[in-house]
Parts: sequence; structure tokens; C-alpha cells
Amino acid sequence: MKLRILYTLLICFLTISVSAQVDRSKAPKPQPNPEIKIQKPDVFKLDNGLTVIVVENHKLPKVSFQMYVDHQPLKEGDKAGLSDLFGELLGSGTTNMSKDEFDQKIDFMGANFYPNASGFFASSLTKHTDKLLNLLSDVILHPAFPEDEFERIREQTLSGLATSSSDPNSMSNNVSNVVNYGKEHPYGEVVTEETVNAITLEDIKQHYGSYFKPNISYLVVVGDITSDKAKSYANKYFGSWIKGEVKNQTYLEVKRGTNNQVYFVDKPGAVQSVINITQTVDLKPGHEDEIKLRIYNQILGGGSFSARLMSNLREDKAYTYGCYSRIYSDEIIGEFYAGGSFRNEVTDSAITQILYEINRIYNEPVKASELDLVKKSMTGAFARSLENPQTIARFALNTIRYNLPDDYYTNYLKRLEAVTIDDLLAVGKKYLNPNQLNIIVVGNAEIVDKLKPFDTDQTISYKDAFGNEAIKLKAVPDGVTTKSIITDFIYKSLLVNNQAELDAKLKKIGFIQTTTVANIEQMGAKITAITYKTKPNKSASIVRMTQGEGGKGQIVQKEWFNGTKGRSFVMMQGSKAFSDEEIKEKQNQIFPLDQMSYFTDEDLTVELLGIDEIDGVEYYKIKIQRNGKDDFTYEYYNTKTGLLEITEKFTFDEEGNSHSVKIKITAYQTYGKGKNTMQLPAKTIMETGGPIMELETKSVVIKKKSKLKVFDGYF
Amino acid sequence: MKFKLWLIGSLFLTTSLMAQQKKVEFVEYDLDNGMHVILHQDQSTPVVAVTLMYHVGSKNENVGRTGFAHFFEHLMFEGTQNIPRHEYDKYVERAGGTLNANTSQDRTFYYELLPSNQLEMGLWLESERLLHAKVDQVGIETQREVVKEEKRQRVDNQPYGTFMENIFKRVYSKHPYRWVPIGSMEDLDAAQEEDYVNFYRTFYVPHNVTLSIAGDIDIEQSKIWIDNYFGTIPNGDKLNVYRDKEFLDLAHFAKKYNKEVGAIAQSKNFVGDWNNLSTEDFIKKYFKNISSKPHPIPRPDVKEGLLNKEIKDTIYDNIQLPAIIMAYKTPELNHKDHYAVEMLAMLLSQGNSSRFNKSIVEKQRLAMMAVAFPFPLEDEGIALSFALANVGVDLKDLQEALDKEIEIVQQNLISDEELQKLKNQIESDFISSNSTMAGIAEQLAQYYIYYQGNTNLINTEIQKYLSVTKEDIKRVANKYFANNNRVILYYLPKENN
Repeated sequence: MKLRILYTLLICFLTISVSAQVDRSKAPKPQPNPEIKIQKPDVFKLDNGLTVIVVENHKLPKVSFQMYVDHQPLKEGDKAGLSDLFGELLGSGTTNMSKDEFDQKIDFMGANFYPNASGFFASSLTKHTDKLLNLLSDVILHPAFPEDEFERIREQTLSGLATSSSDPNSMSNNVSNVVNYGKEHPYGEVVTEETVNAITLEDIKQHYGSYFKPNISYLVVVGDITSDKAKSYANKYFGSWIKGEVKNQTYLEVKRGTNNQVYFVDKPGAVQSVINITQTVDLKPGHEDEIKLRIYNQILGGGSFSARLMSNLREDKAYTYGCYSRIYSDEIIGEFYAGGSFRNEVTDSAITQILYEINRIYNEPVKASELDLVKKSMTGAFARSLENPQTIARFALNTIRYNLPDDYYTNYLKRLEAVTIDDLLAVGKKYLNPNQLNIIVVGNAEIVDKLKPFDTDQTISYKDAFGNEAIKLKAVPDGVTTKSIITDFIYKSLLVNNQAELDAKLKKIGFIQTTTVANIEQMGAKITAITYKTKPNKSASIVRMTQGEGGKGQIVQKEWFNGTKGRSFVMMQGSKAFSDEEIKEKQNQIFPLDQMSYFTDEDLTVELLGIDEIDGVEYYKIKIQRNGKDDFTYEYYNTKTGLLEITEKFTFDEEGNSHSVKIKITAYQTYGKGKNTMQLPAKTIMETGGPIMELETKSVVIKKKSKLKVFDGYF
Repeated sequence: MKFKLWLIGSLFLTTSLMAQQKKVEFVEYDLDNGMHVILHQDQSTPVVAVTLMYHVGSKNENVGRTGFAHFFEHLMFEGTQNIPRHEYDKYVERAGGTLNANTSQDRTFYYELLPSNQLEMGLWLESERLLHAKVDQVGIETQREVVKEEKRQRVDNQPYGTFMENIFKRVYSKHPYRWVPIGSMEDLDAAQEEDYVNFYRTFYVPHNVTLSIAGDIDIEQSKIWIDNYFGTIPNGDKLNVYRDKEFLDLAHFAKKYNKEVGAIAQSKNFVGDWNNLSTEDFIKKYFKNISSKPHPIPRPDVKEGLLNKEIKDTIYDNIQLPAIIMAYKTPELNHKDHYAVEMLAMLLSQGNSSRFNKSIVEKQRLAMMAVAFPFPLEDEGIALSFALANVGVDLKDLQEALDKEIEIVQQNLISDEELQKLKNQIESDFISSNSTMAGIAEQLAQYYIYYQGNTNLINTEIQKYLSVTKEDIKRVANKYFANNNRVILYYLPKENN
């Protein structure tokens, strides 16, 4: 007993003496670690399949309800923005109550209600719980989707689009989504005026009918409520929601680019560049590597001042107010991001430094002290996050949604502690690639030239605020029209000076046979293509492939058209007759050049876009599109020589995926004899995304007539 | 019938109001050096918020040095006599915490959010900052550029980002509120090391700061640590000498304190003591009678009153949608009309049923967004209205609609039901606002500073709102929301210029 008093006195004495002379030169030692308790939420399912998560917290007399309808991300295509509109409209009244009445009731309780595409978040003081739930239940079970509200929200969305087109961060996000995922992926879709205008009220109702089902939904209840009470409320207010099947979505595989690509978005008057360096990351939520990549990211560019990006680009070089990186996991496909806002003059230096840091952490082990600091800081952040009861709810929701082990969060700190320096090197290599980055810059056009070096092939892609290809073309001089360009090209090809000479020449020329060869080194193969054309619109072609020295080779492709019918054959796919549509297309052709029919074929739209500069050469850019088709072609005619030098063909398959072929004509040559001469491509380069193919014209036969029966399929 | 039920309901709401509130308990006291301390204990989560609110903001800046208070806040992360550059934040992170700061017109707020076992760390760090923060030229130049980037990012490169600057410079003609905390590029460029020294000496002194701590703390232990770290910090002349001893070299120090030590500055003993004694002991020996009496803190004393005329202007910006921004001059925070002005703004724009939203956004479809928010300040403040026009809407029509809503409140009393709605919203906001330790700590300090020591307003302020009458709302609508008491800005896309 005495000892104890003495001990107490001693402590007091010690404390007081410490008080007198605190040693400021050293940081104080922490007290023993507090115990981190993770509350266990209550989780149960209603008969209709609705999962209810309850986190009791009686600190404040408040309860919140979140409804989360967990349908997979949807491809909205030409109706992009549908879910967002749906979310807004969900709060627009019910079949029992107008929006005005609904709003009035929510506000009168001092409650909050935020509808969204997957449900809502709402909260109120505990005493209003019953009344609030009454309204929330009506929102889910009996939404009204009124026409006038739909039109109003559409209008607002359009206005919103207008504002976002001047906000540099929205612009950057749009482009990032498009280039990372592709426009055909739900994550790459961009909402535009056209897509918003295409959405109908019927679409909204259908969306509700197809996806709003209790069996894929979660009701998250947090706050001053007992689990029992929550259960009876859930049954009372959402028990009659009828379950139903929800269709599974499939997604296109997302591929990274093969190298670093720079995208530039012009923001006139910008005083800063928003830099966004990004790529997709195939990381699923809850995967064992996720925690390692979180540490990796925290060291590279997490939220703290000491993270590498912040310490290098802000604290050391003062290029920016903030520079961060993020790695997101996702059930379909995740994303890596690094960037920030930087004054115009240092845009290129900033990219250099960000890339330097991305490469450094990828290639070199991090310091033990860095890893230690980040672990401690993440441990603290985890503990602090528990102050908010919504965190516990989020843990529970993630555990169910991603099928995580029950102890995923209770063991979180242990797993964090176990991560090693080598782990970080390994996950970097596994998930990231510093040579396949999309580098997006939204900024002032004056800085664009400095961005070239960061693009592997030194060609910057220009985008608009919505991720579309930006058409940055110069206006054509007065007097130049589609007609003048095409006519000039036809004259040049036939080596004539006017219509009279052309008419005279075309009386003498009636048949052309061209033989082209290409060597495909990777396959050790040679491709030989022979094309035939004759008046008035007949055509045929045959492509053979020979490997090694062997003979005539194998036919990989052939087709013929005799003026009324024809067939095409492709190796492995077989032969098929031309459809009526194809026949009509072929009939509209005019010997001897495609361009001859540009002004006679009524199904074609031929449009002069302007002057484009490619690798220092100026071209008239012309777009050709068959009416009613998605496919289109760009043709680039050299403004000096008048010759066609580049053709880009864009085709879309049934899933709507785009494929492009680029054909560059690098040399023209005069073929034929006497008066039967023409200027035709001699060397051509074809780029399809795969290996580049170089084609050489071996021979061209130009005559008045031919006895060949190739046009009827007899090769 | 329905009406009657509703009446009963509203009675129920009113009577049950106070029953639901939990009192925020706290202890507060002054240290001998004049520093105010507020402690709030909450053991529900093992976290603690250590916050310091310095009663200095952009209104304490001098012409030609706008933006300095905020610039200075950045410099306060550079380190101290005992903490090298780039280390300050690392201590916090290694402790599992986070830190930051922000600067307004009236105050500068620093905070560390820490696991509760690291309270002492937070106190040490903040006391170091108050006693002897250290900044070198490299730090100044770096942060100068960082702050300029912050301005570009938040203001210059943001659509409508310049609106605060444009409003404030038109509302005020003499008061330092006529510039905004971020300041001007020119002034940021002009700031010198000597400005830093003066600012620190004038405003970063114990009696100008409130230490407010909330979280899982032991009150008695906290008091001891606070004594250790903050109670030992001198004030007045003594603090100046303390800092000079640490930051000046001997020659400069001797010159500056020529009267006190000039005669012996060359002596061997003095030089020995200069090099070897702790600052505390050095002062004890050579400045025995130095005063610790706090120096008065200069504060602007400018009252401009209401505007007496409407000021209209057009700003061309890199934007797509035109917008109207209006500011009405309102009284200072600690004025009885403040609560009615707040409630008027809520009437106009809190919740979907609010008047601006219902009428202008939903019914007339003139705007994408129309909000009213008071921007009360320690001295006379403003109430802002911001409306973003829908595509194709003429700003004149939008303004007419906004004016119409104000006119209605000026001419008619609001309904009982609407008044009750406002009170219910206030109750809900009031209860929700005290949900985090960081939030409570900041609130406590704010009440203490802005309301002349009335910290307990955190528990009682709601009564001031609840006693606002319909007549009060109508009265403030007429008094402050008058056409001749406002600035109107039209924001238009640049290409229209």
C-alpha cells in the first residue's frame, strides 16, 4: 500500500520535473498504441434478395440510408449519359407524389436526399426515420419519371456539358477515358449533346425495369438505429420490391497502346497545363496485390507532402501546387494516373519529372525508410478512417461485393506490415508499364511543340474536350473545292490537261492490269496481288501468297464483278456472292479510278475538310462516306502535286469496334506505252496496326481491251 | 384535416428539438503567456485533432503585400529551429497522422489529425512552429512559386475562378477585404524575407492563437503537456529576443541589442555564452528584466457601411455558359442580424424546395444552378447569389427572375410552414456539424475568436437561429438585399467580347 503511494508520488514528481525542462530538440515518444477496434456490422438478406448492412452508431441522433443497386457497368453507346439522367430523374417524384410535394417533405424534415444512377443516399435525424423511409421506399418502388422533369433534366445535362467543355479537368478526364478504354467500352463512353438528345423517356423506364432489382441491391443503414429496428424497417419499406433476373454484361477486352502516346487538348487562354499520365491496370478489388500497389502508389504520389511526386515537383522544383498519382482497382479494369496542374512554361519539365519518377519506382527498389514511413502513415490513416461509421459500412459492402475473406479488414494492418521492398518491385513489373502510357495534356496551344519528344513516334494526337479527334485543319484557299481537287487528281493520273483530253484518252484506254508484290519477312512469305479493271465498271482481283520458293502459291483472296453480279473469296472464310447492296456499289464505279464516281454515285458523301499538315507536308483532307454507313475514308491529296498520298479507311464491325487501315503512297510512276499512259502508285505502305506492309508495283498493263475472262471468275 | 395533422406534427418537432442535442463539453483556460486553450474529450475513437487557430488572415495584410498571410502559412511547413526542412510533415506521417492548414480573410488554421497516443507529437510540432519557425531563402522562393501555382490552379485557370476577387474588390473600397486571401501575383513576387520576420513577430505570438484539441485525450495529462510545450514559450519583448538569439548571427544580434549587450558583445565570456548557453539561459543571464508583456496586435478598424448604390460590371472569362454573380453587403458575423440573413439564404437555396431552385431552376428553367450563400466575415461581410444560366438564356431574364424572388421576400412574410422548415433544417445541420473531432476543434476555436470568448456558442447558437421571426427575415431582406446595396457581375464567354 505504501509502495503504491510512493509510486504515485514519484510519477507526479517526475511529470512535474519534466514539465520544467522539456527537451525541444527531440520529438516526443508516443504513448502505447491504442487498440484499433473494427466494429462488426450486421448483415442480412430479405426474402426478395435485398442485402441489408447495418452499422449501429449512437453518437449523434442521426441515421443514413444508402441504396446501392449493383448492376454491372452498362454500355450505353449512342445513348451515353442514360444512367446519369436516370439517376437525376429517380428523385423527380413518385406515382403517389409530385416532385414538389416530395421535395417539400424532405426539406421539411431537414433531411438530405441525393438520388444517383445506382439508387440514393439519404439521411435525417433519428426521429424522422419512419417518414424518411416512407419517401425512400416510394422512390424505389413507385418512381414516376415524369415527362416534363425528363425534358428539364435533359436540358440541364446539356448545359452541364457546355460548362464541362471549358473545365480543364473534365476535358482531361474525357480524353483519358476514351484513350484508355476506347469509346466502345462503358468506361470510355463520353456523354455528348448527340447522345443526350438520343435518350428517350422510354429508355429511362426500360432501364428501371431491367436493372432495378432487390436481389442485386444493398441497403446500407448507418447511425442511431438498432439492428432489429433496421430489419423491421427494411422489411416494411422494401420487402415488397419484386426480385427479377438481371442480364449479365460482357465487355470488350481493353488493350494498352504499344508505346507512349501524347494527346493534346487545346484550351485557349489556359495559364496552366493539366497533365494526366495514365494507363489501364488489370487489378481486381481485394486481390492480394492491391495492398502492395497501394503502398507503391503512396510512395510514388499518394496524398502526402513527402510522396516522391509531391516532394520532387512541388517541394523541390515548385512546378505545381500539387502532383499526385493513383492506382484504382476495378472489377472490369482499373487505372493508373499521375499528374496535376502546371504553369505553361514548365509543362515539358513537369512531364519529364513525372516520367522520371514513374520509371524510378518501376526500376529501382524503394528505400527501407520510405516503405516504413508509408506503412506507418497508412496504418494511421486506416485507424483514423474508423472515426466515420460510414467506413465500417463500406468495409462490409466491399467484403460482400468483391467476395473478400471475412477477415480482410481485420487483417488489413497485418498484411500491410508484411509487404516488402521486393514485393513492390514485383507488382510494379506485373501491373504497370512505363512504356505504354497515355500522356494527356490540356492546355495552351503555345506549348504543344514541346510535347513531341514524349511521344514514342513523335506524333501528337489532337483531341477535343470530349475525346473526339480534334480537327485542327487550315481553311482551303478560295476557289479550291472538292470537285477541283478530285478533277485535278484525275487529270494528273491520266496525264491530261482538260476534259477534252480526258475524254479522248478514255476512248483509247479500256483495261488495266496491275501486279503488286509485298514481302512479309516475319512470315517468310511473298504476297502477289493482281487487280483488273475494265469498262464500264467491271473489276477483279486475286491475291496469292507464296512461302519459300514454291510456285504460283496459295490463293488467299479473290473477287470478281462482271457488271451484274460477282463473288468474293477469302481464305478460311470461303466464297460468297455479292449482296444487292454490294452489286449496286460496284455498278456505280466508273473505270478507271475510284475518284471518277465521286460525283456521280449518289450514295456517296464527299466532303472537303480543310488543309491538314502531316510531317511537314500539306494535304487537302477529304472525307468519303457511303450514306447510312458508319465506315468512312479520309483521303489526303498533296496540295502541291495534287496527287493522293494517304488514305485512311475506318471500318466498324458488328460490335461497333473500329478498325483502321492507313495506306501511304510513297512514289508514283508513269506506266503504259505510247498514248496509253497513266500515272499510278509505284510504292505503297500499308499500316493496319500489325506489321507494316510495303508494296511495290511490279507491272502495269494498259490496253484498249482484253480477252481475259477474269471478270466472270475465270482467273 | 391534413392541415391539422401537420400542425400537430410541427408542434412535436419544435418541442422535441432540444431533447436530441448532445452538449459538447469542453474546458478552456489561458496560459500565462496569453495563449488560449480549449480541450474537448471524446473517447469513441482513438484519434485526436490538434489545431491552432491564429487570429490573422488576409485582412491583416498591408497594401502591396496582398496574399502574404497565406504565403506565410505555406512557409510555416518549412521547419523550425529543431526540425530541418522537409521533415515537419514526415514526423506527422510517421506518427500515422495527417496535417494541413488554410487561410481565410480572418484567421489561419493549422491542424494535425493523429492517433490519440501521438498527442504529444502534435503539441511539440505546433509549439515549435509558434516558438521558432525557421525559413530560409530557398524555402521562400520555392513556396512563392507553389503559391502562384495554387492561384493559377484555383483561380486563373478555373472557369468563373476569378469571381471572388472581382466581387470583393467592388464591394469594399477601403477595408482590406477588398483583396482576397490568395492575393496578387505582383504582391507575391514582391514579398521579402523582412516581411516574413515582421509578420511572424507581429501575429505569431501566444496571445493571438487558440489551441483547440478534440479527441480521445486525458484532460489532465493534456494540460501538463500543453504547459510543457506552450507554457514555456515567452511573449512580448522576451519572445523577440528569443527568436533573434536563434536566428541572428552574433554581429547582427549585438548591433540590434546594442543598448543591452553592445558593450560586452566582444568579450570572451559573452561569446562563450552565446555559443554554449541554451536560449532560455542566455536570456536569463543577459536580459534579466526583459518584459514578457504581450504586444498589441494591429487589426483593421474600418467600417464602410452599406453600399448605397448598385455596382454593375461585366467580366469576360474562358467559359461556355454566362453567369450572374451578386453580392449584397451584410453585417459582421457577431451582429444580431446575421442569423436572419443566414435563414434568408437558406430560404432561397437550401434543398430542392428552396425558392431559387424551385422557381428559377425547376419551374422557369432559366438556370442550371441558382444558389445563395452568405459569406459572413469578422468585419462586415457579404451574401452571394450565383446563378449559372441554361444554354440560350439571356442574363437579363435570369436577373429579373432572381430579383423577383428577393422582391417576394421583401414584400411578404414567409409562411409558418416555411419558417418551421428552416428551423428543422437548422436543427439537422446543427446536430450533424459536430460529427468529427477536427470539425469540433475548429468550431470551438472559431466561436472563441469571433465571438469575444463565447466558446459555448457551440451549444447555444441554435437558440439564436430559432428565435429569428418571419418579420426578421422580411426586415433583413429589405435592409440588406436591396438593389442599392449590391454588386452585380455578368460573366460572359470571351468570344462574345
